Amino acid sequence: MSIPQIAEWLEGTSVAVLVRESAWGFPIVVAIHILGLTLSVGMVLWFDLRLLGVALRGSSVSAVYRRIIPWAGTGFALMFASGAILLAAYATSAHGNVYFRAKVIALFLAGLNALVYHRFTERHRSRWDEAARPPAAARMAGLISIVAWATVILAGRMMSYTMF
Amino acid sequence: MGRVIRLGTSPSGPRPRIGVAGVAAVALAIYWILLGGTEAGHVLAPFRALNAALGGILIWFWIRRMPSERDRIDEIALVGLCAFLVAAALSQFPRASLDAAVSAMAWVEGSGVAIAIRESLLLTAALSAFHLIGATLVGGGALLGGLRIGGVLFPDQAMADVVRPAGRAILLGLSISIVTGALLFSPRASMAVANGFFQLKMGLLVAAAACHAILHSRRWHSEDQASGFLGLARSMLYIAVILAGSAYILLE
Repeated sequence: MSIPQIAEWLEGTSVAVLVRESAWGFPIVVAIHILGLTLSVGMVLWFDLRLLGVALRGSSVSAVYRRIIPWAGTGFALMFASGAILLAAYATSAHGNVYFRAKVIALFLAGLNALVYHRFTERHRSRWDEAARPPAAARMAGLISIVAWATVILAGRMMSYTMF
Repeated sequence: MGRVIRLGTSPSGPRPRIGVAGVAAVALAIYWILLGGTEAGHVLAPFRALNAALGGILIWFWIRRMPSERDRIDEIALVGLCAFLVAAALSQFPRASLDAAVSAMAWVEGSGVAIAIRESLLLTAALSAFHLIGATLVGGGALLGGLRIGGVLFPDQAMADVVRPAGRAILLGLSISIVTGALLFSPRASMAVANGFFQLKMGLLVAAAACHAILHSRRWHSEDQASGFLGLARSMLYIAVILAGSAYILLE
């Protein structure tokens, strides 16, 4: 199956039809998506700022992570679930949209950045966990995360204006 | 009731704790802001008298609770409350102010900036994107600060170390949102002011800002139950602003 065929199949699913054709389906799912975005990106930003050594310097990096992640994780779950439903509803329009591609690339970058941080940078965290200013690699991870999530938001909003 | 933590620089004597009266005053202020300037106050005449009476009660509370070393926020708030009391008592305020606002909106819609935004989809989309970034900053800051004041998040860390950066994030986010929001508002000002969701969004925003101002005035900055309630209420109000904004755009 090619990508356009997958997109057409997604648009034919019952959830996609419900979101597209009901009066309240689309607004409710978008509102949940925005709420999830505020919760996830709004909270993960504080971990990024801690990595940059800008905020919450009185707590260790691991403590900030432990306390922020349950909130951000809930937001990410809401955001990805509602985003998947919205994508299914308008898959063919999204597939051809340049901002959707930019958003996917930024999402991939954010994911890759998190993976690199947890797999490599965090390995020696015990040495700098309490430091007010973490090492360059950790600071870079925080900066990339902020830039990637800001790009996701910008591209996502541009997408909604140029897709329909 | 926990211990009182001061964030202010003044080392002077003890400050009053927030009691039931303080929470009642805030609740009255929120009610007043939400209902005082809306059509409900015009259609239902008793609301005007009720609002005026509530205004009097608020001022009485404020004067009674004002410490000898009052700060600038207290003074500004008192002047504002007096102005609202006079306006509410002079019957035509809600309707007349709304009519004047509608006339002003027509002028705003005809401005060069409004026309440029109306005619450019990409400009509108870009402004909307930055508006959402501002809203995310506000939401994140309000959640972090509110959860800390409520004792849910980082309870072992000094309140100032969490609440101060959260407050700065809220102010930065609000600055971005207000500038982009005003630009987005300009091409459709008259439609926006007549929209129920937009009115709700603005009312909630004023209530959230009032909570924010009270929390950040030094004598309210404590770890007691009322402050915790205010912190969480502020978070909920900012999230409600975001939801009302979504509803306004999506159901317009």
